Amino acid sequence: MSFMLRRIYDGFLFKPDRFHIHPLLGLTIILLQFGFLIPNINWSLALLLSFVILENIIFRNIRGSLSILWSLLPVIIILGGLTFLFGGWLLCFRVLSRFFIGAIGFSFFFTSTNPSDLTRSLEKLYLGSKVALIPSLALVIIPRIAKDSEDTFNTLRLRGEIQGGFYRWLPKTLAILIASVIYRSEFLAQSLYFRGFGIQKRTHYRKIKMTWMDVSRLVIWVTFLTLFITFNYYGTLNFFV
Amino acid sequence: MLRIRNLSVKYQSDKRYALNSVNINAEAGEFIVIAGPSGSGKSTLANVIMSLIPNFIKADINGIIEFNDESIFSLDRKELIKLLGYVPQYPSDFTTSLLVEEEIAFVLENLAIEANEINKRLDSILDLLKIKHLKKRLITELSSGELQRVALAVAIVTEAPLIILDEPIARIDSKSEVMLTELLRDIADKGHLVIAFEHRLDYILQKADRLIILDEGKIISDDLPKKTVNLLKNIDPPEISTLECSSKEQILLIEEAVEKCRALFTNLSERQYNLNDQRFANNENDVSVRLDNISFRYNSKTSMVLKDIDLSLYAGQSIGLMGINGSGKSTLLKVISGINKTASGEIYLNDSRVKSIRKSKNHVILVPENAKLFLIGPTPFRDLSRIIKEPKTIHSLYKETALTPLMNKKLYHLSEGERRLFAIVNAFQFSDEIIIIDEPTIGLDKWGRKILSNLIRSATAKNKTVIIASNDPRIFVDLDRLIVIQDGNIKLDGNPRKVLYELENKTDLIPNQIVCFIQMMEEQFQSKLPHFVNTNEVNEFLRSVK
Repeated sequence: MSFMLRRIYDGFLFKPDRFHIHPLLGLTIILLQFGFLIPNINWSLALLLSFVILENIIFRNIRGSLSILWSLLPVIIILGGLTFLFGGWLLCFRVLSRFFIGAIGFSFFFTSTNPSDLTRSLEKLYLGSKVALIPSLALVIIPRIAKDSEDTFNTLRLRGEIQGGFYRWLPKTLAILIASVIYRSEFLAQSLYFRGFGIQKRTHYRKIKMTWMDVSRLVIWVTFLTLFITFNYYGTLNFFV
Repeated sequence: MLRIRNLSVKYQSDKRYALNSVNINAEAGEFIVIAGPSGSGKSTLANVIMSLIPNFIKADINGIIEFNDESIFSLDRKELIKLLGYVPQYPSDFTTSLLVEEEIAFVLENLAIEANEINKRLDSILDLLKIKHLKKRLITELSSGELQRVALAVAIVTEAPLIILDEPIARIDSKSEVMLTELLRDIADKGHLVIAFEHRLDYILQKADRLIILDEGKIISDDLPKKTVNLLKNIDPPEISTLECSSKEQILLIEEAVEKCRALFTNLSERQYNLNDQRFANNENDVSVRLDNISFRYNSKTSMVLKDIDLSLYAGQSIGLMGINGSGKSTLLKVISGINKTASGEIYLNDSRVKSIRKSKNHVILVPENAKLFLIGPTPFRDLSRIIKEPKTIHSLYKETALTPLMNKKLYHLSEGERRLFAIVNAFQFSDEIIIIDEPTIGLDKWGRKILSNLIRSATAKNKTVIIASNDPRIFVDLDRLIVIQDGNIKLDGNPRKVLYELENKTDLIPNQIVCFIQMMEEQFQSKLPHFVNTNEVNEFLRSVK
């Protein structure tokens, strides 16, 4: 459990020294990826998965993606095993590919998006400050909750509270997670209160510019869309039945 | 400027008043320190001035708090934010951004200040607090001391006339303590009213204009620090003020103590005075844990936090761990407790090589810096009953430490200091062999520190190993051994007396005030003096020569 939490923290934490993607582009792409997860088209899922992996290789977020996948390894094994047993390898592929795309895609989004820039960008789209801050706060708070939970879990382990089957200690751990969310939220609310959030229209102390990274990311996803439309136009590719 | 009249606060869950008829008048440019024992109402007073009570914490309030003749409760939020800058007790809980520059700019953006002006203020505040190098750093990766400065930057960047700091020194090393107090003095001199709620008073009182002492929710004194410091005798006095050099005047400055005591130290040499160092004798027969060439880093992209550490820990030994913020103290504690897996090196437990030193349920326990994470609750009593099934044993244990009146209180109704004290007391029952505590003295008054010392003594008598990491050098003088970590390496290791006297020459740290006092005296006499480490030793000597 501790190793899972540590990896969630590593895989979801913004890396300021590595790369910056324009938040609106990041948000658009993550929504696009989600959109393509809905239909049950095998080749489309395979294509999307390859592009997500390719993008993580190009922009060197391999470590972040692997961290998340490692953290979810028990879930992947259980989910993969169950879907294979009850639905065969095709169902297993459909479920796991969605799982991988979601995990890796989110890892890339979290590690490359500056939460404060995301708020500023959404505010530029005339979204109210309070609404614009929600995704940004998620980006700030999720790695922190993972870190808090890890610290508490480690302490519990040393106290001898974590032993036996997972059904014994998992409820305790979930209780910690919920307590941590409540605890963090309470202080966050106080902090926003003292920092004057929401009292008036905010100014922005810096502008977010498009960089070559954004352009190359855009090229990757335009290529994906082009391939998708082409394959669709010439009929569904006949792989995975 | 600030007027508090007949302020009384009662929490809805409590029968007694947390604050009772408090009256304070303060003017711009003043630097006020508010001290008092744990649970005396310091945080309540801070919270009510900040209007966290009643906005976030429900309580009944009577009385008036006025700022420039206007009630604080009638101010709207924008006025309040322009008026108040706040450095919370746990700055990490109050962060809203991931990057340092974003964190500081956030409040200015909310106040709709123009971009140029924000950038100008950002640069000047980073310069002022000497944290320019942290501008692009992640807040989660800052050390406690660095984070404290960022929190201070957020508080003063709005140019608020009133700055409130809740235990600003608790988490920082002594050198940073001296720097921070000088900085607070400068801020006050620029016309701000600075109010600091603090336990560690060694240096902050030297720079403060006033000392207000709270006890059981009442102000028992409000005067110049020099005049009232003696009232802290049973609470939390600065070390130097407890020297018996002169019976009349109170001393706050080390230089002053040297001046007053110099005559008494004449003709004294190191050889003439035999210091009893028996308690520092190492019990080196029984090696409990050995770390052999241990290195650690958080991931393969980051540099090593611990580098080639060789360390033997002995059963029945109390060990202190000292180092500037970010030197690797907490990381080493996590390696010893088995939480952090090492990058290289070997760990031996009772001469057998192991992957982790934790061999059984009650083998090793660690109380993290954030003591809130240790207690599961819902009350200290119920928390301890998870390991001790017999209620009578728990009762007698809490009776020994005089904590019985608080043992059935809900955890979230306890003050920070009380919660930490319970976490420490309970932790000593959770382990049969190794007890590790990170920053145990935060929020603890003299009474709390005495309880901690007693617990350490009785644990080592039972052959348990106790390891303590702290930024407060006062706690180390009673331990068997002191280790200093610098840049991930062990820089000094030995009995505390020896290490504390080598500290200033060999590391980036400064020792406790008594050691500084003796060293200054040695400089003046140009000869070696007995290496006293605490007030009792010096006072015993002074009494003998008087």
